[in-house]
Amino acid sequence: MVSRFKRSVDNLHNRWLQRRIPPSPRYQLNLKNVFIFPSRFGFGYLLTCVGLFILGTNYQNNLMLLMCQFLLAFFLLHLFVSYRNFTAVSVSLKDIQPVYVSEHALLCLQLHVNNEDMPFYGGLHIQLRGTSLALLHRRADQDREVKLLLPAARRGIFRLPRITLSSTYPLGLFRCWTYLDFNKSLAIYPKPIASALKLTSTDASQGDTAGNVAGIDEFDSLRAFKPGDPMNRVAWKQAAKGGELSTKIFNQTQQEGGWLSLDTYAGEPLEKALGLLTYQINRLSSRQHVFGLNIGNKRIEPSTGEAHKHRCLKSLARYRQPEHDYAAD
Amino acid sequence: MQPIDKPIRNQTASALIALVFCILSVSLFDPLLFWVLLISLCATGIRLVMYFGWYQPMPSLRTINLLGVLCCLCLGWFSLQIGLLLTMVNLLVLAGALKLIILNRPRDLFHLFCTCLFIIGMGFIFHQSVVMTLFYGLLTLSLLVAIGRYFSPSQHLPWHIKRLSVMSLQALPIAILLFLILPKLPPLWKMPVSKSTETGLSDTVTPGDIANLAQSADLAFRATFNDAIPPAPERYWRALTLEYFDGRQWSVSPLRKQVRQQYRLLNNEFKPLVSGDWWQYEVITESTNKHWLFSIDVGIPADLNSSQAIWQSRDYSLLSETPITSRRAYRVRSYPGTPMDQTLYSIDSRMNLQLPNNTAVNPQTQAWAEQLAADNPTQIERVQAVMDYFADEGFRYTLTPPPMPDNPVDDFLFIHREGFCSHYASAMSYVLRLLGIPARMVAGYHGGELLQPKVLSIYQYDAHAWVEAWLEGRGWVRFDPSGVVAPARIQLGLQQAVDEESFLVNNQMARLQQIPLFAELRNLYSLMDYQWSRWVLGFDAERQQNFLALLLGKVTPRRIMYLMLGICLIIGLLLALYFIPHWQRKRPPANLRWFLQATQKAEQITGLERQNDGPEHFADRAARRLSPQSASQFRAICEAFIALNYTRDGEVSAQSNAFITQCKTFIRQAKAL
Repeated sequence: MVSRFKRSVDNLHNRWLQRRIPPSPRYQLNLKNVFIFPSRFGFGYLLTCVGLFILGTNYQNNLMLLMCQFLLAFFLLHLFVSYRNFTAVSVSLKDIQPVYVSEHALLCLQLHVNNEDMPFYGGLHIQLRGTSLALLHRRADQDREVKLLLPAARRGIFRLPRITLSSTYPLGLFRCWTYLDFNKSLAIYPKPIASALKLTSTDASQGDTAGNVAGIDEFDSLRAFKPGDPMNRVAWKQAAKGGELSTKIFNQTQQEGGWLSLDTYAGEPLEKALGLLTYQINRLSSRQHVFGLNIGNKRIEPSTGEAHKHRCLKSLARYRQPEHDYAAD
Repeated sequence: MQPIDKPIRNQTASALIALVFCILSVSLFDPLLFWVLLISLCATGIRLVMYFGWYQPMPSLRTINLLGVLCCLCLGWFSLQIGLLLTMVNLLVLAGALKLIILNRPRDLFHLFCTCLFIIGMGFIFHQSVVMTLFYGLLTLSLLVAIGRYFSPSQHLPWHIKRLSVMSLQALPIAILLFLILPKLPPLWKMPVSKSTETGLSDTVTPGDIANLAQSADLAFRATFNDAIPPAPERYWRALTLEYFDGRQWSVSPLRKQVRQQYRLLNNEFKPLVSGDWWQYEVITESTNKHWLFSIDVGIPADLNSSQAIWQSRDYSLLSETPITSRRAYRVRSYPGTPMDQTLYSIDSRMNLQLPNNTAVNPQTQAWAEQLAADNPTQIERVQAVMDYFADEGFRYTLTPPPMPDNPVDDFLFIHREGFCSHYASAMSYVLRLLGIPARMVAGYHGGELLQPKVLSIYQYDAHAWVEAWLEGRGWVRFDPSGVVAPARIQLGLQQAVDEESFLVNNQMARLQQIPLFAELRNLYSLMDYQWSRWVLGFDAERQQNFLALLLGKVTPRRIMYLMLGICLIIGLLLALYFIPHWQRKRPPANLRWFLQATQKAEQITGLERQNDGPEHFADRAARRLSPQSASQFRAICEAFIALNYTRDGEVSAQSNAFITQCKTFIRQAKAL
């Protein structure tokens, strides 16, 4: 009952935030997206002031009252100083590199000072909203960036929740904070498991011809270089002897029939199978092989290169895993 | 990434707060128990050792908790002797010291910060001078710096000091506005007061006591008169009446206390009918930790605020509702012409004809009194006979009378014949009682030094004692035997009445102050101190109302509302002044400023206007009208300026300095062709 109530309040809050601070790749902190409220320490400070006031009144001691009023005035100033300091920056998020399960993804917020005459001071506290992942970087004003390591526990493509960024400069009496949504997602690939390569030469639909493919690196012939050919396939020896640039062609059948398929590992548990496939995709990509991927009813046509690799790995990560918010388990 | 998350060991914040705490506890040397002070010094030591990394392991929480329990037990034991207030202060310092040892988390730092602020507040109970206020102000600033240092560790300490000083200075006007406007409330409830450090008069007087007091050059109180000030001989500041005599010492009569208590229960305050001329004045008294207040002759509270704080007793003395623990201001109107016959003779005579139970003490005096009674039939004659005895029998007024332990009055009257005012007052009251005249000793102050035309400073050495006797048909009448023996005491003051050597003989510091240069300085300090206590310490509800009346003309709720709105507006404007960036106009860089000055000089000499010319173009134009040397100088300046501002280069500051010297030389030497 309580948790349901809490969830509905959370939902309301989220919807309100969505309207108040819509997703953006870069935020200029200002009145619209910054919240400010006394911190716990601030309330303690106020309590001290109340204590001083009572003591000063009871002893009819003007100096105590003056001190109390000074502290209150300081509190008021602190509000403005905090706010001005926090709104001196704009924030952007560096691209998050995909990681494998059991590694850590690096979340890096970059701070840009709008006006060098009014720089930003003090530390920053960063937290992923709804998780316990948090870090206080006390020298954020020096580094002008704040980093947070996100543990990757499960594979999948995760929406990055809002990032709570807060500052308590100068004396921690007030906390300024904002919830930033950079509209980014985090890809966590299955953990690679080393194994021998298992490429099927034909289309995965006839998958039973799977077997060890030997001679994958076998040289076949040379042809004239065309722009777009991978550099490590250029026959440099020939080029060095003064000949034309030419590209090495490898065994034709391998190039066309290189398919990785989940069905190959039908006997293995799913996660392990995905791990094995991850390893193979990495291996094949590092050797510049052309390969395709068959996973479930999704099919990625053979190709090569970094983009292709990530496309394949993402489809592994996404396999039977609906996209949802990142949560550190 | 540096995950430093705890304010321990190598963090400046912890060392700073330790130092502030240490200085703070030393400044409370008097109210603190010695072992508490020792613990706080040790705690500071431990923290510093950790800070410098000489010894790393922290004492465990369990050790500190045990230590805490032990300290609380100790303090509980001592609390019986030192009273609640001092126990509170000691407890606070103790808690701070223990927290300092286990300072480990940010939260500990914040707790310690708040504790220190509170201790500073408590410090104002004990110290209220200008100097101490500045000192505590600095300590507060250091506390802020320590916390600021924790929240932005990448900035240097001087940067923090500068920034927080600026913030404090900005907060000060707002604080002062609040101080002036926020209503001053009466005490919400009764607070414990400290038992120790009673100064000034005490409620039992052995004749030697006031002589001891006369060695002290401390301030007793100051009085600021509205119009005229009373002539020197009339300045009898009554404080308390001593109506019980046990043969050796005088004290406040227990009967008087009882009577007073009963009237208080009935809330039947004494309201004497006053008549004749009056003096109105404000007294700012130093702390005495006692209830009595000072007033000349018959004084009544001059305004509502004072009358709420003062109880008028039926011995014509004024009593404060709460003990005077710190400087306090009150306003009184004195009517010297009012006859003091408005109290019940039956009660007063019962108290003031009381004689010591032990009739064996002072036998000679008793015999003498019988003789006097036989010789002089009327009251007036009897009193006159006693006064004449003091005048004629070679009495001497001295601060250092011989000790008279056994029969003090006999020895004084018939053997030594020298004493201080209290000896005279004591002997005379006793004799009058023996003669059947109700008489009592009044302790107070006499005299005062003029600080400003209408301001009197009364010091402890002005302490005085005299006699009041009830004469039929006239009521209480004042007699001062000291005045008969040493008229100078009444006319000029103590210093003139006793030998130069014996004045403040035990108080070298105070004697030093009598040297002209020091006297000048002391006077200056007194003046400052006076203004301080009048406008800051003495700014009570009454003064606030006067201030508001001055501001608003007439204090009505509507006007008060406008005033509050006005104050909010002023605070808003102040904040706008501080924070709207438009106000903080950007200063152009130094090299641009000097270049413009050099150009201006060139314009002056050549009579050309630069208009929108580039530096080099203008240099070409100006060269035709400048002396060859100046022309080449100016050209060099223009080139250097371009090099400085339009090329990417390191080491700008060094070049910039050279450039500025170049500009200065040109401005000095430039000549036309």
